[in-house]
Formats: sequence, C-alpha cells, structure tokens
Amino acid sequence: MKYFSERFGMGLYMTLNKPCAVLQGAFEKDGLAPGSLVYLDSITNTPERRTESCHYLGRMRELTDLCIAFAKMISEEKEVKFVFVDSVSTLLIYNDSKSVARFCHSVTEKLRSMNLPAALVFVEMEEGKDVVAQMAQFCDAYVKAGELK
Amino acid sequence: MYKRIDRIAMDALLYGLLKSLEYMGEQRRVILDRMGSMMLQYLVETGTVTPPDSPGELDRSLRRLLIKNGYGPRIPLQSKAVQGTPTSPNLVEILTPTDQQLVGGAFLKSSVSRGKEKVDWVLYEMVLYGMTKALDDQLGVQGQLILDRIGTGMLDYLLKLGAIERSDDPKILIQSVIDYFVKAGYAKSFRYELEGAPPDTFVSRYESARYYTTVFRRIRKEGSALLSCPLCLVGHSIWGTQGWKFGDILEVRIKSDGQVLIKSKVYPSTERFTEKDALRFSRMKV
Repeated sequence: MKYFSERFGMGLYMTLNKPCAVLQGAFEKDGLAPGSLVYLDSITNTPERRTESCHYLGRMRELTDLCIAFAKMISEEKEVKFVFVDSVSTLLIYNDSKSVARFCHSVTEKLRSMNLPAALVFVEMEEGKDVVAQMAQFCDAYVKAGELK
Repeated sequence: MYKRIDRIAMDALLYGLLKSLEYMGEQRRVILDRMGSMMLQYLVETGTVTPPDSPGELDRSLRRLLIKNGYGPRIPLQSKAVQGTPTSPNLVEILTPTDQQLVGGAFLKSSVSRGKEKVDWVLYEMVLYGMTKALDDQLGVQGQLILDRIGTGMLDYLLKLGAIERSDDPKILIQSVIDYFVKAGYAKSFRYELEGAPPDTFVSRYESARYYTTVFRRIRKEGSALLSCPLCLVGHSIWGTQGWKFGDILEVRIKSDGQVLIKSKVYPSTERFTEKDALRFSRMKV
C-alpha cells in the first residue's frame, strides 16, 4: 500500500476479503499514514453505513450491486488517485469465472476512462487460472508478489 | 458425542490439505508453519497437553498423546515456546500418512489396513482448527477456495482407497460420502435439503456433530467466516462439479449435544454478471 500511496496519493481500497478494521490496523502498524486510504468494505457483517474512511456495504455478493457501489464511491471521492481491489479470488467463491472476468473487465474499463491506476489482487491458486489469463488481456501488467519493489 | 474418528478420515484430510497447498508457491511454507503453531495452541488451550510454561512436560504430554494415537515412530518433537505462543512446525509432518503416494495406481496396502484404526477426535479437531486459522490469517475469506480444494483432495483420497464408491450421479456420490462420514464417527446423522424455488438455500441438519460444538464455534468467536467442516468440503466439491457455489451461512443453530442446523446460501450454475450488466455499468456516469 505504501508503494501505491507514495506514488499516487490517496487510494480507494475495495476489500472483499478482510474487514476494513483489520486492514486499517495492519497498514497503520506498517507505517501507512492514517487517511491515505478510503475503503469500500463488502466483508464486514454490518448493515450498510458510511463512516469518514469507510463505506460498509454489508456482505454484498451480487457483482452488479458491487459495480454500482464502486462507481458511486469513485465519483464521490474526488481525492482518490488509485484503486486497489482485494481480491478477485474472493469473487470466485460465489461466482462463475466468466462473470468474474467480465466484472474485472468492466471495472478496469471504467477506471481507464477516468485515468485511475489500479491493482487487482489474485491469490495464486489453480481456481481461476482462466480468469487470470483473461485479465492479462486487458490489464497492463501481471506482477507476482515479491516482484513489486 | 464421539471421542474417536477413523484414521482414514484424518489421513484424507491431511492428504487433501497438502495437495491443495501445492499450488500456493512460497505461501505454502508460511501457511504450514502457522498451522503447526495453531495446532499446538489448540491442544494447550483445550487442556489436552500441558501448557508450555514447563517445556519438558509439554513435550512429554504431546509425545504421550501422539504415541497413544499411533504416531509414535515419527517423533521426537522439537517444540518450543516463542513469546508465549507454542510452536511445533513438525506436527503436520508427524501426522501426515507416509504412504499417501500412489503405487501403480493403487494405494499401498498399509493404507487400506488403517481402515479400522481410530484416532482421538481432539487430534482431528486440532488439524481442522490449525488449518482454518492459518488460512484465515494468511488469505482471509479467499481461504475458502483452498478449503474447498481440500474437499476435492479428500474425495480423491477416499475414492482411491475404496472407502467411498464411485458414481457419476452426484446425489448417489454425496450419499456415499455421508454414509462414510457417519460410519467414521464424524456425526451420528446428517440430512440435507434445498429450499427455495429456484433453490437458493442449502439446509443441513446434524446429530452429534462435534466439529460444530468445538472448532466451528471457536473460529466463529475468533472472527473467522471460513467453513472447514470436512463433510461440507467434500460436498462442496461434488456440488461444484454441477456448477453450484456455496455462499454465506445465513443461519446457525448449535446445541451442546451436537444437534446442528445450518442454512447456507447457494448459487446455481448461471452467469451472475451478464453482458447486459456490463453494458449498463459502462454507461453509468461517474
């Protein structure tokens, strides 16, 4: 996160995997300045609500709803200079790989039209190898963890 | 509640676990190390072994437990306490069946002969707890993908060993899996049904299901959303071949005698983000 934050400024962290509170604690412990990120949290089990740094969506599982919430957040948060999606793998728990690849394509297209850089995280596992192959076609780079220095 | 479970069920779990981590690259070692620590922590916190403030006694009580369960030849252990958290990186290796490799397409006879052997349920719990916590710590919710893959590995193991009969009909195969787990001492009974038209909820009912009163309750309390019930994981694997996906748990009722009711969201094999959805999103003004 520090890498992105230092290069681009404030970021939008879309978390589908670990609750925003857990991430905030971990990032701050690692020296990321408070206020460097705003969160879109679709994992914390809570009714939809908004705080200063986080928009809790509850456990939103429909990709269409996620798209709408995401678009709304980037249009409202004018300070956001990059987007981090954590993670595409989580979407594969509830969705078929074709839908997930299409969702990622739609999100990246939208970000491209807004000139916003983004990283979509994917845990290396056999599931969704086809999604990675498809994503490689519309993403600028495929970087393995550890190669990002 | 059952006190022991078939060793084959334990072997299948460890086989599935190690198989599923093969794809994890560098993270594999990290997950296994974490798992080792959490497994020992489980034994200490449940009072199964002596706390690590007396390291010699911890080793001795752990050794006694392992020997009692037939894991004698693969110890001694080298456990140690680090900042109050017990660690034992060798536990997974000690428990892993050494004869898991296929020989000429069939398992070694020694695997089959283990069919009547039992191990203490607490060891099975320890592995389930350790792997769930390690996956949750390292991967978060996406750890469920690895857990479901463990189910596929377990099914593979049980089929190759002949503990479960093959069938192309998923319902027959699932029934064989249920029969196996009930016979193995996983639960006294298990029934399932689908609710909704079209079906959107999977309802599971258990009797004397120890996993839920121990591991499941504990990991939920600790904030994990992962489901590592071995019977469910094998079931997910079979339903997955029909394109079904299992989502969030909607309702859980667990009684202390192990009676359990669980309702989970299920998704059929349909595209859930269509070209039409993508087009609508691309036209949205931001």
